[in-house]
Amino acid sequence: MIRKETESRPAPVSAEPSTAATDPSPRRTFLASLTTIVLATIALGTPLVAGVAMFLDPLIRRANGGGEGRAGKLTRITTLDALPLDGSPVQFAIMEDKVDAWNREPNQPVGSIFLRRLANQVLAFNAVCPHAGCYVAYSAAREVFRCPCHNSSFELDGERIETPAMANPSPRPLDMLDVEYRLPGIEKAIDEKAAALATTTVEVWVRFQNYKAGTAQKIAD
Amino acid sequence: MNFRPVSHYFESRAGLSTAWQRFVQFRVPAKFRARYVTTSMILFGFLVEAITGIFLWTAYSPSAQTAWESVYYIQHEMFLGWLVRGVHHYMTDVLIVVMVLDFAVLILTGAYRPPREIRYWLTLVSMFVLVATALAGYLLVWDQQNYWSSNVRTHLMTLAPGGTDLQAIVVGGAEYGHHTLTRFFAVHAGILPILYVVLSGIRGWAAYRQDVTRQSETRSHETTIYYWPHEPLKALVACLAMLAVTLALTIHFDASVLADPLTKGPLAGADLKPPADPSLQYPAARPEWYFLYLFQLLKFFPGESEFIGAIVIPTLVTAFILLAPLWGRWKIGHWANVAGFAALGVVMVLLSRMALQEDAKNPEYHAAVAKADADALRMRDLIQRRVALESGELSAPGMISRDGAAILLRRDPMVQGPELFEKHCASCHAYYDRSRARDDLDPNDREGVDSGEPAFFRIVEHQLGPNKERLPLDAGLGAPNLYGFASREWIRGLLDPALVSKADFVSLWTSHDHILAADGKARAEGYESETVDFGHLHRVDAPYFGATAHENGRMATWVQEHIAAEGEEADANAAKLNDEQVDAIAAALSAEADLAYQRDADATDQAQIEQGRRLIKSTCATHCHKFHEAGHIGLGPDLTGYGSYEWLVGMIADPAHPRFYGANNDRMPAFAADLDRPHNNALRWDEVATLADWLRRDFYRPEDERPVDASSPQQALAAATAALSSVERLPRVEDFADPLAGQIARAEALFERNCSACHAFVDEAGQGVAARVVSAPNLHGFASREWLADFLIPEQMQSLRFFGNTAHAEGEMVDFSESSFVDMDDETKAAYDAVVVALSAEAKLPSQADLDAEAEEAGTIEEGRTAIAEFSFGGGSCIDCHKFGDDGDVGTGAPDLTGYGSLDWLKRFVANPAAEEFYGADNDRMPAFRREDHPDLSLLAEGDLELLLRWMRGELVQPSEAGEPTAE
Repeated sequence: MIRKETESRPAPVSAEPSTAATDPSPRRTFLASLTTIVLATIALGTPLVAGVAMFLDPLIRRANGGGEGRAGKLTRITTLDALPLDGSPVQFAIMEDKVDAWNREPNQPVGSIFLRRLANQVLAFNAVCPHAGCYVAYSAAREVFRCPCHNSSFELDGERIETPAMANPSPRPLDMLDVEYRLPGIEKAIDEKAAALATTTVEVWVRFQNYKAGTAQKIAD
Repeated sequence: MNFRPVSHYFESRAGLSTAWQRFVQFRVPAKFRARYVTTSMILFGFLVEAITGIFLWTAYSPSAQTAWESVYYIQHEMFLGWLVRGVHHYMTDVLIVVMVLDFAVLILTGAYRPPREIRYWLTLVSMFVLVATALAGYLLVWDQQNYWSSNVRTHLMTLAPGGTDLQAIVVGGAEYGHHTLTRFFAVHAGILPILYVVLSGIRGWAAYRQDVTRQSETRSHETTIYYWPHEPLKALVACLAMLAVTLALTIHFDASVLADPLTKGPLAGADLKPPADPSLQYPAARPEWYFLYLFQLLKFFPGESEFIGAIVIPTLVTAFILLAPLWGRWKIGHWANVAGFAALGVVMVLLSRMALQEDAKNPEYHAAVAKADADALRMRDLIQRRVALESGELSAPGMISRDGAAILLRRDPMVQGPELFEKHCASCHAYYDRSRARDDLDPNDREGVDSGEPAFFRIVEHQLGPNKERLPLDAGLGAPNLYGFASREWIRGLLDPALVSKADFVSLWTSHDHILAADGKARAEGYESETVDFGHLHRVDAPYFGATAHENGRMATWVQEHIAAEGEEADANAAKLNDEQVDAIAAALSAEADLAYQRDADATDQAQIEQGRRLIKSTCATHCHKFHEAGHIGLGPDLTGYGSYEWLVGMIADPAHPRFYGANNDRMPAFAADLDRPHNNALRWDEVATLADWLRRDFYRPEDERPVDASSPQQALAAATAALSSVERLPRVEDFADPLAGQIARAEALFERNCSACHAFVDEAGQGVAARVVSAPNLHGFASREWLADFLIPEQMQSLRFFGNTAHAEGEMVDFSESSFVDMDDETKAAYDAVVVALSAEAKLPSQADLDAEAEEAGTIEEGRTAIAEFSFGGGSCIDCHKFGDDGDVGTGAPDLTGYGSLDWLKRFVANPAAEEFYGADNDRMPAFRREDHPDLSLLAEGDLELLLRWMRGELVQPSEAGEPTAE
């Protein structure tokens, strides 16, 4: 388009040379221009495309199933005895082998959870607020979980608190996680009743999982 | 559709169309100018570098622990990362070639001459900036090649005036580190490229101005043409050629890479040597090819004169290049310049060629490059290592820890094991496969090295130092060959009478190594006229104890006496173990080591191993060795867990520890005896771990069915702690506040460790040190009147308190006492009493000093002495068998009674009870605790022996206790 315009218009520059012999015919000029532009695209496009491909490596990696997603790995968190009997939440860090590009390090913090011991079960919440991904904090004075970012508040059982005075931006309750009880050294879960009655140490294991923020449904990350 | 309003919108704001119009209308002289093409090519090269560079920037991480690692990740893990990096790397080379061409054209056409000298200088500075950008970029890779070649460059910097400060600024400190990388990165990706763009802008503007001016001046007689589109088209064809060459270089001219870019690509592309390791010089580090002439030049200036090669000559040449336009304005000056640059070019090419040729002829260079390349591949294996989990599955790739990748290689037993062995062990130990003929072993054989089994001569060669002048000394290579240590074959060889003390002296001039052989021959000829012992010119090849102090030691002797030699009829001597039994012992002992490469055999041969265990308990663990609950520590190394990781780490850490060779240790140094203070040790714990892993062949091999990881320094320390604390060290006198208490504690421990296997030291109340297997006299109160009086009674003598469980229980002394000291008449009883008093007085026991003095006064001692020499008891006189003073003779198998029980007598007795003056051939199992031929190898040190004996004799008593006997 632009080319055509250029051809049809008289040149604005007055330094038009007197020798017309070298003036190329419009058709040849067009072909030559086109070739030049195509070749230039190839010449600079090759490194550019290779570079962009490399830059998109994370997408390719994900499509290939690479970069191990944390698909709910059971982790030993603590023992039953270590949790307070009054049901007040205790925060724990989740330590896992962490792969970071070329690094693999054992026991790196990958998340945080709250545990609450009730009469015959233990509740586990992911500390990530379902609204925008901040960590909620437990306020012992008011006995609520509160997010420091946008003031989402949750009951001790994880339910949203919505008051007329203060809107709750979180689309869903705190994300509850699966809990297992085990006897030390035995790779088998025991049920809640057995755990409550056990006279020996009972280990609390949690299947740690992050969920997509901002949606009303729990969608695993 | 009408685009006009849109185009008008943009036109009115950006004026692009107008600019385009101007560009299209731009005219240049019709005469072809090569520099239009080369300049465009340089610009194109720079653009490609900028594009690929920015994408590499998105993945690169400049720090000492992440630089190589991120480059590795780009090269091996990221999609097409190898391509981007390869183009970025090889385009530099192509760009340098084009710049040289451009410069040559510039000189030949005289375009450097006034009035264009400013543009010439700008061109030079631009070239310098581009080359400097490349140089800064190489270091960012942080691999061995680039680390060490950059190191040389920055060191040469210090030779210039003010160079030390310059170097500190460039390096970001005294040494290479994080700030070297961050600085080089900023320089490479920021400062210099920006500078180049600015310089190019100035140059382009100057050229444009000049062309426009000239156009207006020369339009009357010079033909001009439109620049667009034919001129760019020509340049583009050249640029595409550049790109094609770059891509061909990137795939190493191997079309098969294109077919499988994802797996083959990472192995092509730009070179990536192993990560930089400041502790490990890379001897093949070379500058880039376009600086080889400088590298070669430096070789001509030894020592202090290096300054000339590194600074003076380059400065002079630079001055010539910069000042060339000054005289270039005259025709003769121009031709002089052309000749000068041509000569410079030729010299550069020749020097570079020399450098290449020297390297081509240098086997060490090739070996270093080959090793680095092998290590680089090994790095890939190590980073992607997937070891077997307990469940049998393979783990996720191990990747790199935060400490960086270099540590993976530095702690890889397969790579470092042979190095450490050469450094610390090979001056005594050999390591080669005896089942392979010696002629098969090639010193340059990398095959063995890569599988963790270096060829023999590689290690021997190392003995000789770089100039191959230092020859191995007599026993310099005499310790056991550790190839396959603790494997069944190895133990079977140790238990072979033909091998245990075998030592071959290999003449150097028949050696496989021709340099060694020539050297040996020359020396032999030089010595021929003189009668010189050639021992020191020989290498000792001893598979086991052949060239050690254990050559004729208890183990070697035992093997000779108790194991049937090959071909020997098993029933010829029923006392000897037959092949089947020895195989069982070897299998059982080797199973203790739990070697990964023998695990299958260990699992299938359970019955044989069980038989072997019983045999070990009944043969090896009776007196000398400990084996699980059988036997005890003291004489020979503990066989429990023999050759296992823990055992081996403990042995390397402290071979003189009682659990291993104790005082019997022959010259092997303790490499890590101090568990608490690693700086006191010759080897660090990671090195001990590496050596133990390598000797046990416990290292990662991707092809293994159950690949294992190398052990960590923490594991080595834990193993050593367990190995060395399973048996306590002897208490040291200086550890006690009260020296006497320390002496007593040590003496008691010495007795426990050296004597209590057979002897007890228990008083009437049952207090003291019990014998583990009572098979020698209770030594409590040895040579006292009570002890002697009891001893001489036949029933007592035959009891466990004295000769009960010994060969003497049915010996002549028992016979004598039965016929002499039973139902004695008064005269005999009196003589007996006197003998006891006199003999006991010989011992000069401190607890009996007063009694002895009394007896001396009363004449009882003299009486007793006479009785010993003259009195005829029922069985005869004492001196029939014993020597006593001037009477009687030694050599009858009865101990000399002169000074019986005295400190001096005991010292000599314990030193060698089988000496002629004591039991001679009748000695029953008591070891000689001192060795005259190897005093340092004695079971008991001289001081310890004296301490032990003084304690036994009751000399080490607290003053209050010492007073008691007299008070009673």
